[in-house]
Amino acid sequence: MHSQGLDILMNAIRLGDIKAVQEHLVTSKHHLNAVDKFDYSPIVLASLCGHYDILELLLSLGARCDRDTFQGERAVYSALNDRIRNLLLKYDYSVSVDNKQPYATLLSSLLSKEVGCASLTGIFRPRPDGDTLIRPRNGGDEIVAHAFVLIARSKYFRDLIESSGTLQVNRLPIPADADSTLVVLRYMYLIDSGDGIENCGTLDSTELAVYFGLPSLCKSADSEPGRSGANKRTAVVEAAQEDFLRLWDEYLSVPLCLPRGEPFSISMLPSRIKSLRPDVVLQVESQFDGNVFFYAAHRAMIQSDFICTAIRFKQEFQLSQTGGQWPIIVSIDVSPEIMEVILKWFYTDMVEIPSEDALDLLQAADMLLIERLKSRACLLITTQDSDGLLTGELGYSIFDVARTGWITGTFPKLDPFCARFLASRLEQCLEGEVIRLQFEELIQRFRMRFEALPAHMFSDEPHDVDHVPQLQEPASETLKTDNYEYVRLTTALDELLVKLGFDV
Amino acid sequence: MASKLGSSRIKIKAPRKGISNESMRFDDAWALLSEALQQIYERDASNLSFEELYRTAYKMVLKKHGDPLYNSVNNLVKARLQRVTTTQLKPARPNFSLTSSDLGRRESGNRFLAAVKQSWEDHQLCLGMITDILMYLDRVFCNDNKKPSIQVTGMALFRDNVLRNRDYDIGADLNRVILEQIRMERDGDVIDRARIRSCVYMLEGLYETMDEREDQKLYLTKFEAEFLTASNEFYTDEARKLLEVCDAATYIERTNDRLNEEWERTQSTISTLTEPKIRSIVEKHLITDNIREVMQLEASGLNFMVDNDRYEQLKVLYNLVRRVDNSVIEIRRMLKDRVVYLGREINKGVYSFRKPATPGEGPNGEAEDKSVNAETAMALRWVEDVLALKDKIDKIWEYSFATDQGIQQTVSKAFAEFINENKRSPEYISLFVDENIKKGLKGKTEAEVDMVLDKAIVLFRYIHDKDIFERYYKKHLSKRLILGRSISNDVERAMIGKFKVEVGFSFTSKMEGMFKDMNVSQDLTTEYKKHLANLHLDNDSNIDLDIKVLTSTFWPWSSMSGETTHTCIYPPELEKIRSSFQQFYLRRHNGRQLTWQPQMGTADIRATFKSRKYEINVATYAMVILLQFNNPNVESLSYNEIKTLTSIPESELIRHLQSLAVAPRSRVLVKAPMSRDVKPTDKFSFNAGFQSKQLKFKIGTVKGAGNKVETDKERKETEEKVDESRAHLIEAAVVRTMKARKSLKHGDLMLQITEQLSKRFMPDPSMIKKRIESLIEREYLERETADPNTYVYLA
Repeated sequence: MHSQGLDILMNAIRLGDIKAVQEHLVTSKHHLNAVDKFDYSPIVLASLCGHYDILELLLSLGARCDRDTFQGERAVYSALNDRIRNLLLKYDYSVSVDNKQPYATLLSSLLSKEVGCASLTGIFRPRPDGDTLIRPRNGGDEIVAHAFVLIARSKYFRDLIESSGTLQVNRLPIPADADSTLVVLRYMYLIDSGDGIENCGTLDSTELAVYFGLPSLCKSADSEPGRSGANKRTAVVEAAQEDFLRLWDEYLSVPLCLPRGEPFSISMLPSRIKSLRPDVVLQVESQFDGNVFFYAAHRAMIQSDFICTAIRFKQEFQLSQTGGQWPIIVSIDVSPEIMEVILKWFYTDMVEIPSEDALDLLQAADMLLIERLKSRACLLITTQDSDGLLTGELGYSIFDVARTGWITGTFPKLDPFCARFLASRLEQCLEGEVIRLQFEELIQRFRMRFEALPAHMFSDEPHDVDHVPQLQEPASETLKTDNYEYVRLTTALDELLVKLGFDV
Repeated sequence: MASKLGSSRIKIKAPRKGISNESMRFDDAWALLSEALQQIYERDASNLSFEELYRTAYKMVLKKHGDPLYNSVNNLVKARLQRVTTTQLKPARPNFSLTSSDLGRRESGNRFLAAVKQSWEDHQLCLGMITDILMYLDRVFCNDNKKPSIQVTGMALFRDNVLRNRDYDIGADLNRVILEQIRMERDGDVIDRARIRSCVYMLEGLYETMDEREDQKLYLTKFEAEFLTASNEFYTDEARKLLEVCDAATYIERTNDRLNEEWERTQSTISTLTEPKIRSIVEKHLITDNIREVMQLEASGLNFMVDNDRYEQLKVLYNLVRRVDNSVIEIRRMLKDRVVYLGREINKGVYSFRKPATPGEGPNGEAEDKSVNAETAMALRWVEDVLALKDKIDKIWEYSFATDQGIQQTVSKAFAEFINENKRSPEYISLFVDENIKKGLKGKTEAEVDMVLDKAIVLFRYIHDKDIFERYYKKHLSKRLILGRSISNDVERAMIGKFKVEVGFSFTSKMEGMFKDMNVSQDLTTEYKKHLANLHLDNDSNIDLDIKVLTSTFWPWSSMSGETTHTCIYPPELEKIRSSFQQFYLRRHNGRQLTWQPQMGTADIRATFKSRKYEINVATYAMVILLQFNNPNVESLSYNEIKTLTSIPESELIRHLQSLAVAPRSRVLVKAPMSRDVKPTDKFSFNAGFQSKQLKFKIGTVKGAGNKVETDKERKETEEKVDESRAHLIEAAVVRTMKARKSLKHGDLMLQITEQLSKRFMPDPSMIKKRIESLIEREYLERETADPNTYVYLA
């Protein structure tokens, strides 16, 4: 994954050899934001070693230093001195959380040789090869790309591909030269070339934008010069999201619907979806009617470890035995609504969902092993403050939230929310048998967790240590309040509390 | 907040039903899963629904059945592995009985390896599928409960239930079979490397503990040690066998092959991790322990290879020894001995030549002449032999020893050793240069000339007594210069330039002075002629004077002129021109003294005989003698008369009379009575009837002017001279040192002096002591009263 070139750059940075760094980056711009085997990015190393001039160079070339990424965080915290730190902060070190980073990285990794931060997406799998070969005018190597990306982002390619029909392999001879084509592809795949689109290739960016039908490229090039690097970057990523949202809305969000039992065949898909060359079909059963929905999708965008493994399993162990069945069908045990939310998120990184579905989404994300979506779902749940959680108007209660948190391992995020929520509505909660049972269950869980605690505390994983206080405080707060004001709690509860070691 | 909400009672909804609330019995779910796992093991996975199996495991984990699921899976895998061991591996266990043939053993071993390989590959494949299906268990349950993953456990289970099966020790069998096959390969059989390799990969993929530490691979902990022990035994034996039956060439070839073979084995059959270890074993047994003995083998060892220019063998040998000893001490030691031995053989030629010559030594001039000529030829041959040896060794050094610096030093030491053992080497080497400059270099290109000179320099470098060489070289050089024998001044200068580079300016300053004299003399002659022309004097004089004015300190005077002073009464016409030049010269250089050296000069004279005129080139003395007969009144002169008229020293006179009157081709005088020897009573007269085929010819002196080796007498003189000059040098060095240091212990002083002078010669300690004593006597130094071992400088 890591090229030797990157190691050379990193060594030059270690040695403080600014000239070598500069020369290297002229030829290998893509190393600017790459990470090495220690997860160091160039700016992390430069700030750690205290090379002010190199850091300045890197930042001026467009090295990213966003606080929400591991690398960005690390750079600031490991800065050798205040001077370095201030430089980082001055250089458009975006204070706002940039949660677009993993999405952009995923997309870039589809094209770039260096898979950037695989760890950020939580997915480790080989980079899928593209399904479309682009042949620039002036010869040279064919460029491998993905039909769905081309169609999503460029009107020119959309027309080209849709008119060329569904051949086995797309081969697109195009009249542009290789340099221009690469510039455009880099833009489409969100590969941050740092120096922008302006001065590459033979055509200027406006010509390229018109030619390839990329209105957003035009916009990004014309954007007012005052905009800073990070903002510009954000705009570029947002443009991509919009393009993929359109792709989702217009193509992929429409499933093929078949009555249960009827076998699926690729030929049933409409030709415009086929032109996207889907390599996976996700099969979902409706709970209400007997229909089965088939969603066309692309492995490249799928960020679920379950689905990826299922595909691999079928390919390795089953397809070879049963003969080719293409594309691979994976059936998923969620409702079509949730499936659509997840798929849309795969393609656009956007989640828009009614609060009622948030808990289902969390469970689905857990089952499908999509860590990042779990956090998003938790965020959705914990940002609501509605009595509906108590009455069950949403279809689930606060106790369901706590229990799901427990089941899915997201309790460090959900428990504080539950505790706060319950504490603010204690009066209403403490009626009825249901409540007592729920509390009992809660306490049972707490106890189990605390029993497990020593092991955590001695382990060296920092996140465990982090969440211990978080978890203790709201819990004890809840229970303490509970104990003082309401004597109706059973003595058994008291005993449990004593056992738990709380100050009664 | 309570008041706001308290007004209306809110009905709290009970938790909804969902996946988390679905009831599920462990046994049902496990039945489904275990059925599927069995199918996987039966290689019948194509109909399984991955999604369903995954979901089942997922639900079991949610339902807190993680622990039993984990255990059940492990039990299932374990049972499966045990069954595989009993049904597949046990029947394939190899037969180690000694009675079976190699072929039989190899076949049964192969079958066993194949079975192990098969079971391992099956296990890996199935375990991969199981891991996929149980991914949620791995990710959530194992992670939360700090249990080793299914994959890691599966590997450990294979280790414990197959390789370390309680009933059948498959692991030990495996080691044994692999080792046996490797032994067969070492003995020349062909084995199935790929199959062994896959078993080795297996051992590399398994660890002693669940931590899977790199140094805890079963390959390292179980297999490698046994392999190394077996190899150790094999190579101890191998070394002994090879020594018994092989000559050196075969031995090193086989050793080289073995090393390559073992390297290849680590690349193709076992793990590369073992490479350095097995290499060191082979190196120890085949090289370190035995190579010395091999090199010393009489008929084929190092000496044989050097003598017969076995470049390839020496190269292999060198590379082998270098593996274990970077400075190849053993080779260097033997090579040095050999070179010194060969050098002494060359020296022996010199000694054996000189011995029979000694009894014949005497005043008998002719015999001496002959032996001198022969010895000169021998001296040249000695140098050429040494150079040939040097060439030979250099070629070996270059081709076989990869121009190893250490070996070069050793070779230099060896050459220096035997060259200095021959006391006459400085003289011989100087003679060699002389010979080449005079004759040998004619018609050669500059590069070739340079090469020969470089060779001479190489030998010069080895000489310890550089001062002796200097003395000889100056002597030979001066003769070449005065007699005009050098083929080219450039070559002479190039040679001196090389000496300068080697030992510095002080060594060559006098030689350069000699050259300067030659140039100045040329100018002087021209100017003198101009001077004469200006004066318009003696225009009628037919004498052309070509004069060489030599600075006495630069030239090795005594060795050129002998001890006798050279006087001569010049005939009037010569005397006139001589004094005219002397006047001219002394006017220009006031206060200098000119000493005339007629014995060094030559003259071209035109003589008229009956038949015709001839131009004859003769020595100055011979001219003086001939001029005595230039008077028509003189009929004949007796020896004594000539002696009185010319006052030429007797020995010179005899020599020149011999060449003028006795030598058959150039008899311009007639001697009576006619005999070879010249006696004081002999009479000489002009031979008017002389005839010669050439118009121009040369009458040489009987004793040639060429450079020859010294006779023993001369050498004795030279040695005395050398000792004398050394004494001066030593005293100068002592005074210089003591002046700077004021007071110095005896030992330190000796050390200092030796170091300072070693560039020129190796001073003899007793000589230094003598000089110190002498200096004390002359009150340059004194012994410190308190410590007689310390000298003090007296200002």
